[in-house]
Amino acid sequence: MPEPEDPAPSGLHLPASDPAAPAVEALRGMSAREPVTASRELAAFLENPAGEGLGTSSPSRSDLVTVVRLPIRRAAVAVGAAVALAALGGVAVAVASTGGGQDREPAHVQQDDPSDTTTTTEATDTETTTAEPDDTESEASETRSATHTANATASANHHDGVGADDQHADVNGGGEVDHRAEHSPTAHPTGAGDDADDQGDDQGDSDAQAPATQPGGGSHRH
Amino acid sequence: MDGALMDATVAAARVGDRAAFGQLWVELSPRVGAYLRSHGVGDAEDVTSEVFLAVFRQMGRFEGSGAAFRALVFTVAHRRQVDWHRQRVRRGPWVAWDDAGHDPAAPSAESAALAVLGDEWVVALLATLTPDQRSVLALRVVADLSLEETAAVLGKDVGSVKSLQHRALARLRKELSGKPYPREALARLNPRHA
Repeated sequence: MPEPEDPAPSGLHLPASDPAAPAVEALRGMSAREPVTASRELAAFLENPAGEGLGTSSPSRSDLVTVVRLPIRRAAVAVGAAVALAALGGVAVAVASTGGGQDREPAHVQQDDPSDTTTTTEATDTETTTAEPDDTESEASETRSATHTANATASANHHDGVGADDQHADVNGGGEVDHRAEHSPTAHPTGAGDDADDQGDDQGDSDAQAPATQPGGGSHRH
Repeated sequence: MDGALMDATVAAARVGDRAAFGQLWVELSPRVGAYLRSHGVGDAEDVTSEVFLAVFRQMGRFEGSGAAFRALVFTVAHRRQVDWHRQRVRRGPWVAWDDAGHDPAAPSAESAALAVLGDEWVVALLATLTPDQRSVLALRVVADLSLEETAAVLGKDVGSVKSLQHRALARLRKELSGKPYPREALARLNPRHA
């Protein structure tokens, strides 16, 4: 069956006997209308083609995407920088509120002349800080020396009356010791001084109620 | 507008002649609008204006005859109708806002109703075709393009366009054999069929 379609160089024309002719003619009739109403923008162009962008092309889609992307990137960079600066500022404020960093190097003070007692203006706080433990230590040593008992055994023997006399400290050449003598707590002051001297060398000087000792070594009466 | 006049009009428009742009608009806008309506484009008038605005703004760089200009216009129209359908899929169905009221310059109500019925009938009939078949038929009938020009607009070879046209017509014959179009209505649309 031969093809009834019109082999015309332009357009498509079917014979009236073709069953599809009514549809083709109706389709052609759609274009046989009045000109389409131009939009406002097109009407402006038709009024003044030279002034309405003749020869100019609207930006392509990729160009628009680029135009949109650039501000977004710039905004992202600006926000990132702002966040970083805010974080650094927060750290700086925290450091300032705590009085400085933990890794701060201590000041080194070198005193050339030990006899020089003048205070340097550098690192005054450090000098004060380092001087405090020394002061405390000296005070503690003084306290220990004040409460120190030179011979605890000798002191105990004076009170319990038990033990030989030679267990008493500093009894050599001191004569006899009267253990029944009333002991005065004030006889052995806890202050500075040596108990041995009080008990032995003085030979009863410290014992107020002890009998007088004879020079050359008398014997104590028990 | 014959070929020679079309060539002269295009040449005049290329140098910025205001009247030439108007003549091209009057000559081709009804065909472009019909092509868009045949594809079911709802706001065909607005899309037609967009098509011509895009083409006219490129006119200073256009080089070719009147036939080439016609092919260019329908190439842009074809792409716009494809974009319109893609956007409709994304945005949902298009609903016409018919609030223009009665236009005294328009044809009579009867003629308008028949035209609308004719358009609706054709559009419904073309909807039975594939998009490529519909495009080939519309470009060949409405835009009055040759096989080669149609192939160029659609980006296909001439053999494919011939095949698509053949299948489209076969489909229309099959559809019309069962549901013949009323001859009375067709006679009012086109006196040749009276």
